Amino acid sequence: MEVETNETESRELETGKVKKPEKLKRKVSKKTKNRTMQEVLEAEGNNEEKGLSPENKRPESATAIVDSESNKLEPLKKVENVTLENKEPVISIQNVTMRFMISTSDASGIKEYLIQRLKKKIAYRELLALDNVSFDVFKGEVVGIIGTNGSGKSTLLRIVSGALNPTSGKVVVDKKKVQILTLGTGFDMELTARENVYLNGSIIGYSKKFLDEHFKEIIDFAELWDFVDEKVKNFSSGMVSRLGFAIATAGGAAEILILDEVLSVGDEFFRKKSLARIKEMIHGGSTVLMVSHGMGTILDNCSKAVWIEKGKLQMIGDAKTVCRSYQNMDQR
Amino acid sequence: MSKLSEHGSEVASNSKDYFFSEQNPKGYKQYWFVIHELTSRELKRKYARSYLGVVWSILSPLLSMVVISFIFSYMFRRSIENFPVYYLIGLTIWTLFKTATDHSMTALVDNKQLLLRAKLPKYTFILSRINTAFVNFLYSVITMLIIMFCFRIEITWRILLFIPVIFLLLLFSLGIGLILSIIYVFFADIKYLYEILLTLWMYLSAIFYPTTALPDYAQSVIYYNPIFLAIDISRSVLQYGQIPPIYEWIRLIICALISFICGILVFKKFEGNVMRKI
Repeated sequence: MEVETNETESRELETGKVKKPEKLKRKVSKKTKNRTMQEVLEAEGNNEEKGLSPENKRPESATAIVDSESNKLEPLKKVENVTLENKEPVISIQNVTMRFMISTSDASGIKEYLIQRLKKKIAYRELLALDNVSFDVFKGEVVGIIGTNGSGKSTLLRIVSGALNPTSGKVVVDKKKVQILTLGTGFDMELTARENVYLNGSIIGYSKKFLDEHFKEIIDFAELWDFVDEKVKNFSSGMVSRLGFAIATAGGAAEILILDEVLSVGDEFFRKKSLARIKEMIHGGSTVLMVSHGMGTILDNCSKAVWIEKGKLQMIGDAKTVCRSYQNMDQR
Repeated sequence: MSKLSEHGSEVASNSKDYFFSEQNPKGYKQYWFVIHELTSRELKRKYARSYLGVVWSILSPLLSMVVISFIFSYMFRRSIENFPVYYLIGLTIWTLFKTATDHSMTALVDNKQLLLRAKLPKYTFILSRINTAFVNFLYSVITMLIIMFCFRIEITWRILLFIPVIFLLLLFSLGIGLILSIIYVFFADIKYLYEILLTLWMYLSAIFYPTTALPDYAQSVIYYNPIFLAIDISRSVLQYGQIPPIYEWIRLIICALISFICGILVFKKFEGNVMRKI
């Protein structure tokens, strides 16, 4: 029964998105809020049933803590006193350190890697990609991560999404709610757009039924009807990222959306459209964590910014302040 | 898994019913959907640029049979009757094992981008490669049955015993495939080593010669080779309509179980380090 109601709600969200009258949108976002509250209460109720200690009576208790050392899941022990209204951290990054054994030669792809490996050109050195990074992201926040190339931004996103386990420290997040969107979309170049929608969709977690129902919408959004049965290898990079974006965001408002430099691709029109979609998701109660080199994108969309430099957390706070200090970096 | 994580996915599946989750009965459906999509992708890829496409899966064992029979059927005319059938059964089973393990090996590395986003266990990618090999195998079985029919081989109920043989062989391949996929992530040279090993293995599986042609020491070894056991049992049930000796079954079952269990243990142990490496 619960599932049913949510489905109708998300459908309303969808219609709200397409027709986008301002009133409807507001109404929807209110509804989503209600739903969230309901979920929180539910989570609480269930915890009591399971006999967990009252400290854990927060929605985070519905999440798992992945401890890299032991790979065990353990309950949250310390919880600050935060009120339920909009204040629960949905992502909590705690002392995350990531060490890579990285090759000294620059092998960008698997093929090159193999070739160089064969030639025995690869030597390893240790790289500290993230050094003791901690911060919290709260529900409904849009957090931008900035920093120069190779400062560990993407690594951080991958750790949050659960693809990587940190060397030490932990990330508290409900992985099931996370939707990650990166430029490397994982498309199979030999397959057509249609086949890739189904392949990628299934990997992300959409069911066949869901994809059948939303296929039209996805292609509509990506504006690729002329190329639907064309192999992706013949697509331009902009078209590929459009398709990737359309698939990843087809599920309506993912509760936690992670964007890795995706808002700066495609032509200007598509960029506007995708920004609009992200904004709708934010209205719908999504929490967004994004990496971008475009200061404009960060300033326009983010309520908070995190500056990571060479793996270290340099600054965290209001987007404007952080961006300004970042841009003034070389002058110092 | 702790109570908490289970609870987490319950909440998630309530709020988003299309998301995959273990608690959700739909989860299994989603699981098969993913394997199905991955498999059809592999098949499409395989024949992406050929004209005959999937027909090659039927045609290639047939052509190979013609060539090998042309050379060897005279040589072994006394010890093997219906040489083409004898060879084709061996070849079909060998190809299943070879493609299943060989393709499983690169499953994790090839799907790096998908692994980053996947919300389902990593071994799904290995399962899909095994499944792909199995689908190809089914096409070859068509060839095999046609040839058996052409040679007027009598079909008995014992042909049903072919099904458990293939099941055991798949279990064996899965175990090997899981181990290879992990090794390949950390040590890519395994690809070339395994190629050599496969050659040796093939010659020790009596695909195109009778076991009596082997020296004594090799004959005692070959009866512990699970691939040969699978081939030998299949020949008994398909070509000769006999029930194979029980000790062959037992050996095959033990090999399959050991491989499967080792595969799972190795995979579970190193799975966590995979993403850091690729």
